Amino acid sequence: MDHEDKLRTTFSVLRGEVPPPNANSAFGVITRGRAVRSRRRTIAVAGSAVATAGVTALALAFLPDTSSPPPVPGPPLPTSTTTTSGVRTTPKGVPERQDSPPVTTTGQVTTNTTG
Amino acid sequence: MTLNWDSEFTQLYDRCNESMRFTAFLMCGNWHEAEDVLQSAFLKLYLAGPKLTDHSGIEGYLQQILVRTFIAERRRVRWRREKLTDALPDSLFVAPGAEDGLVVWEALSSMPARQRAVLVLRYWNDLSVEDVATALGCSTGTVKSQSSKGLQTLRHKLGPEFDPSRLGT
Repeated sequence: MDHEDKLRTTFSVLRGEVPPPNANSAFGVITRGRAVRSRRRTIAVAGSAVATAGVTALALAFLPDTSSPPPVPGPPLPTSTTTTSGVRTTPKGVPERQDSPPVTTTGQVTTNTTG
Repeated sequence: MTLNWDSEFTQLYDRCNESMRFTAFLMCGNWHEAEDVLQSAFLKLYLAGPKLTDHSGIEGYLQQILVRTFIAERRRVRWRREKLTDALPDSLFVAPGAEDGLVVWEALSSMPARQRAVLVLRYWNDLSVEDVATALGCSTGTVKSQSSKGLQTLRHKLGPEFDPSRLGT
């Protein structure tokens, strides 16, 4: 604890000394602070402009060329022809009756003729 | 907002400048470096001020900035190694009984920056261990160990024959 007292005494003695005159002022700090802010703002604006220009240049350099002619639609395909076979209405294995209704086919009607 | 902060900052500067200047002097060991460190600390506070939501503990915040600026400056100086100057070092203790104070001062000057900052904050600013830890950005255990090491260094440098009563002027 003795050395703590020595330290305190030394600090107190030093406090009693007359310090050199202070050349700085609050106004000086404020002026410097404003200059620093202004410089930071300028650097930020310039930096963002350079970054934007760089990204644009990279995009122009590496993205595919869009000046080629637009794609032309191909020739029309031929119309499709549909063929359908007749569909039996009576199940397999059942003997067909004489008076059975006519077999209907899609898009086609057949009549059962006897004789 | 800016004008309010400017006037508040001016009042704070006028209120704290002398005490902070002396604290910076105790940490740095010379008035030139103390002025530089103090101006850097005030400038950082001025730039950070508008972003602060609460200005109630602003003096403690300034002290924290001051200590951290001092330690950062010392770290940078260590990389610079030597600095040529034509200015003579400050002369201290012109009062009677100055030699003993000079011995303490030299012992203090030879300490690492962090130890020195701990001793100044603890025994000049009378901060608690917790407050010193907050100011330095370290744990309370580190503050205790740095304080103990600093006093041990002082004890080693001063020796048993040193008489503290001779310091009073």
